[in-house]
Amino acid sequence: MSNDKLVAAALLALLPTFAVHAECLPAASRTTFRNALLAQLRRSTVTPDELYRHAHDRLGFGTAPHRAGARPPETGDPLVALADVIVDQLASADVVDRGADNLLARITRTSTPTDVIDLDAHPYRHAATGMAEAYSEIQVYAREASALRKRIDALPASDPRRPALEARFQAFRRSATIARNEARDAATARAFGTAFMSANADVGATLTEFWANHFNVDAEKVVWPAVDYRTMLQRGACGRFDTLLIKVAKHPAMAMYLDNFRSRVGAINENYARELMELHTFGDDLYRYYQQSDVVGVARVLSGWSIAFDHPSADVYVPGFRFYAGAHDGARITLFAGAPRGVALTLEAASGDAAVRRGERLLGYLADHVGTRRNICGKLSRRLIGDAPTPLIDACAADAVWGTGGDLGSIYRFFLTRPEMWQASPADDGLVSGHRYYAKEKNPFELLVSAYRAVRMPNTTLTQPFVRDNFTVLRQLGLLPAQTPPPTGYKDGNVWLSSGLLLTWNQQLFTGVITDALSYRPANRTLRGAELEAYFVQRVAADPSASAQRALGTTIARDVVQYPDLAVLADTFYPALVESDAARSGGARAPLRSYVHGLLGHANFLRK
Amino acid sequence: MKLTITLTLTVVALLSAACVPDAPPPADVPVESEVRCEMPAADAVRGDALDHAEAPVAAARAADPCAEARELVAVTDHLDALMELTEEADDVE
Repeated sequence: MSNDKLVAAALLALLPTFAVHAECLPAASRTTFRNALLAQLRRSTVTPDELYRHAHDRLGFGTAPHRAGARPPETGDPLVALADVIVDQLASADVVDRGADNLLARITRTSTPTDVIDLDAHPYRHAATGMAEAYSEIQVYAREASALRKRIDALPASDPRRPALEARFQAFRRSATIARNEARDAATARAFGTAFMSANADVGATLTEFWANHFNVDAEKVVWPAVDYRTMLQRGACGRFDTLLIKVAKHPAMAMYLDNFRSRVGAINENYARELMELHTFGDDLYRYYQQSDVVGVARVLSGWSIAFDHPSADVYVPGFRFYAGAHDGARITLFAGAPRGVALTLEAASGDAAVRRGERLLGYLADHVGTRRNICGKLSRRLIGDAPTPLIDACAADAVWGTGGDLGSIYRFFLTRPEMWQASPADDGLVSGHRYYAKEKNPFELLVSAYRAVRMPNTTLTQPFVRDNFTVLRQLGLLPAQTPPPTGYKDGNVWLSSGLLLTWNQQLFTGVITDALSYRPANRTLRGAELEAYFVQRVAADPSASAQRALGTTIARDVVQYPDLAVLADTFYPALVESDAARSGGARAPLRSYVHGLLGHANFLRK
Repeated sequence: MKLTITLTLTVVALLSAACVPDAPPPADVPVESEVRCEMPAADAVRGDALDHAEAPVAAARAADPCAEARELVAVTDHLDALMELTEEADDVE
């Protein structure tokens, strides 16, 4: 290829990048947005430290003290610095950071063993791959197993080759299952790893998790399409809602999860059509905007929307969307006319490509419906602000913010520049300080990720066995990322903090793992683990006075855990912990661990 | 006084009736495609999952709509079979 062609190809490759990245925060909106955001930050009545933590919790997955923008800068205006961090994060919200994927894959990948049987398990080997590679691997093992089975069955029962072939058959089959399970677990590790390794106030990571939950699929059921489903969602998170809805409808992950891939004329499957209106668009389970006949009707319009496999070379299969015209019900249809608040939509008879466009028109209609606007605005408001008052939803759903088809960047900018996002709330439930900042409970996933981040767990932690144990706990608590079974996804609200969760939190998630990751450099030597704990035991023994203990508690909060806004707890909390520890063990056995557990189990940390 | 109230209520009732929109037009009864293909029933027994292990590779668009419909059925059988095959030996980890 000539140099000119190479340059042209490189420019073409860059073009979509620029076009896509500008959408959450177009250049023309950047200054206006920054000024509006800064004005709200300045109007806030709480401290810059608290505003930083609030931004990290609501727009990201908790403070990562060792990453940029964690604290107000030592010089300069702290609110300007925070506004600039948020501006930069929003501007790149749809840029997929593959750092976590690549790390996971690098640590666990050995080869692409399409011709190897008896595959050793390497969890997260699929993390950096797409669904084509994941599917191809599973498919090749299953295909070979099938061929062997036929060969064995064709042999006489007494044939001496049978035992060896049987063993080989079982090995292929076992490898297919290993590959399947790894693809499933990679989807979860990808979601967890992205959150764990994300930047402070990483709006893109948060919005991706939001959309992954809104358009939930369960990797236990869909396996190979789930491995890059999130990537598609993040790339579409700054465009229009109607475009995102169509991409989801055509993605094999959703097609398989809600069974639309099998829906055909004469054997219509209603699952996707129902959840499309009940969850993805109207958010209406009261049949206000549609009725049962419309569920069937929408399913008919989307019948024949399924999956196909291209086979460009040996052992490579590329799954993707395909419209099967012969399986489509293309009759003329009128929808929504009979629902109490329905507005009739008539779709003329269509076939071929026109039938696909007809389905897209239906999805566009649903995406821009007033019920959908209110549903999406309400969910985003609850996610970012913690509340969804009617005037706020009305303003978001109006054309000035929503635009045509749902301008997602405009909607995010709207919420981020609302006073409700940054002002203190007068409400005080007695558990925490009277700020809106702590009004939301972290869910178990956010709790674990924010704890890992707070104590600066190294990135390589992701492949440690205890992380898989933690995943088991998250599954038991009902929130394992990418593996939440119901189409509703998990709840976003104050429903998570129960005695069961706290018990699990204390008993399992903190069993030495988190404190073992801590380090502290009191002089010229970095202390970790038992050595670090011994250092604090000596400090307590050297000066057991209350004032010395308070100072020690502040040191731990500021310099070891590096969660300075929790240092205020040191006044009362740390002496009480040391006293209790001493009463149990006859001495300050583990002051560091006790204090860190106390910090991360405190109401202020359990909330956001 | 009573007469006034009665008249008012009557007028309100009449106005309300006048404001009720016409009943929505009945939804068109979707008519299935005119082409009738010989297809297996949705709940038909597919046989051994291993028989459907190999991916049905996408063919060029068929002129025969029934061929496309059968292709879709083959895809669903294959994906169901793949799940079944890999689930049966799920205790390998």
